[in-house]
Amino acid sequence: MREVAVIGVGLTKFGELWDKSFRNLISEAGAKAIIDSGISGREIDALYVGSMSAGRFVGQEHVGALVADSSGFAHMHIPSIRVESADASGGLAFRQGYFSVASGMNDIVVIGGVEKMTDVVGSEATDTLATGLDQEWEAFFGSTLAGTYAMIATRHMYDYGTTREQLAKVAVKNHANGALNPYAQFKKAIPIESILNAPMTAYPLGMLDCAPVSDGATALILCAMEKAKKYTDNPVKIIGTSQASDIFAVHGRNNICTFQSSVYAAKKAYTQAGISAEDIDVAEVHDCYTIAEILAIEDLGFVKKGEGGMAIDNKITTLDGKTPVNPSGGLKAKGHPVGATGVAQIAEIVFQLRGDAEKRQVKNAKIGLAHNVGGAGASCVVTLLEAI
Amino acid sequence: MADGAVPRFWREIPQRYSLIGNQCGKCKKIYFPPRESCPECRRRSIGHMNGKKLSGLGKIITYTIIYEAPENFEAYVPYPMAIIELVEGPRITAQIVDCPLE
Ligand SMILES: [Zn+2]
Repeated sequence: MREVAVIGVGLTKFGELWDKSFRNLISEAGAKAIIDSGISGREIDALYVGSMSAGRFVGQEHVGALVADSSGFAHMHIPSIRVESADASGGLAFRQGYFSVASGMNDIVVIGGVEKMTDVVGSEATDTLATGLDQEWEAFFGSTLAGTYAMIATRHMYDYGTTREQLAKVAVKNHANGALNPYAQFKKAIPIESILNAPMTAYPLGMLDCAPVSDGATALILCAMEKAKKYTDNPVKIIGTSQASDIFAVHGRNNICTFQSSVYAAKKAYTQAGISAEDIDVAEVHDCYTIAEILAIEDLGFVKKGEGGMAIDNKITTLDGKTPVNPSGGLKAKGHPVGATGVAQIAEIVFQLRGDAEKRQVKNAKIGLAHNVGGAGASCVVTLLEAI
Repeated sequence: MADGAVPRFWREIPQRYSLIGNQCGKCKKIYFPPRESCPECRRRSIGHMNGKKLSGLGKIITYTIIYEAPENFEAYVPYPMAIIELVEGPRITAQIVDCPLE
């Protein structure tokens, strides 16, 4: 396997983008990434696109071919592959594209992630997000993705003494970071009172504990490291990539307060890169709900199991903390167009490692981690990147 | 999900409404919903998975109260959901009925 680098990044704004269609979004992100990288379109060998549920959100499947055409590559007849793993679709698309370059089959590929979620009403979006759960044994009885994370939160509070305020502080931190990110859906700090007093979504999680419904797309250009210097002076090297699965329904797991998919994916990625959790300078983790960020920092080994809530109190994960988490604002404030999320997390890590993150720049960031979860943890992708 | 005539929903009716799981004849572990094979014993369990009626008794592992519901449940909010560990071992996600909301 040969070394692979990220040499280009392109993002659309995230939010309720009424005037942009599914195909507008992914084409815009792709074009920006190509311009950022300095490659020409003719050099692209393949496209990999993460999309969780274009079929339900916009009534469109056959997404690979659609994206190839709407991005202007139909006449080149290159392969285009849609990848799905619920809201880990983007991270997994990245991993599949990485394999194709690392193996030597391709030299340059485009990784896209896209979702257009606001064309449906709220309850339809809730239903579609719940397709990442077990439809027959969780969702059938009226549970939702928020409900499932809420049950994890209730148990985390019972087992470890995690508090409602600690959950809310995750959102406070991520909104403060989002306020510094020009791509974020919410560019505004929010006081803890607003989060605590927001209407309930699923007890103990209120509306502001949940990532929003968003439209958006992100694209990255991957290139074999041996050719990357031809295009850029600051390629970002992929030093670890792994994916893991777990028992599909949350109730089937022995300990519902840990995602074994995150634990295993992180361990494998650290081993591949020859590093440990201590070496991570900056991380983008899957905070689809506030409790999810607490689980993530525990499962990735930044803090011990059960100490995630305390870590928030002790500001370990703020921009100037020991391990800054979600400098972009995370899914919570940057937005969560589900298929785009995994790619957008890696895009933020690339900005951080290139020193291009402006006001939200983490100082001396050399090694970064992106953590992308599918559903309520039945799948997880962890990616490690290094500035060179 | 409302249309009960759709096979993907009536197929599971005996298990859903009568709590019928199954038991691995090799390691005796009990599963709900029933599995085709035992993940512990794998190929050795094939052909040895036997139906098992569960008591329906258990303890609550965790719970939530749903305020933002899927389309078909919007009329019932707020309603409690829980993960329950049945006395026979398996855990399920279920709606709690006949219980005051605190
Ligand atoms: Zn067995």
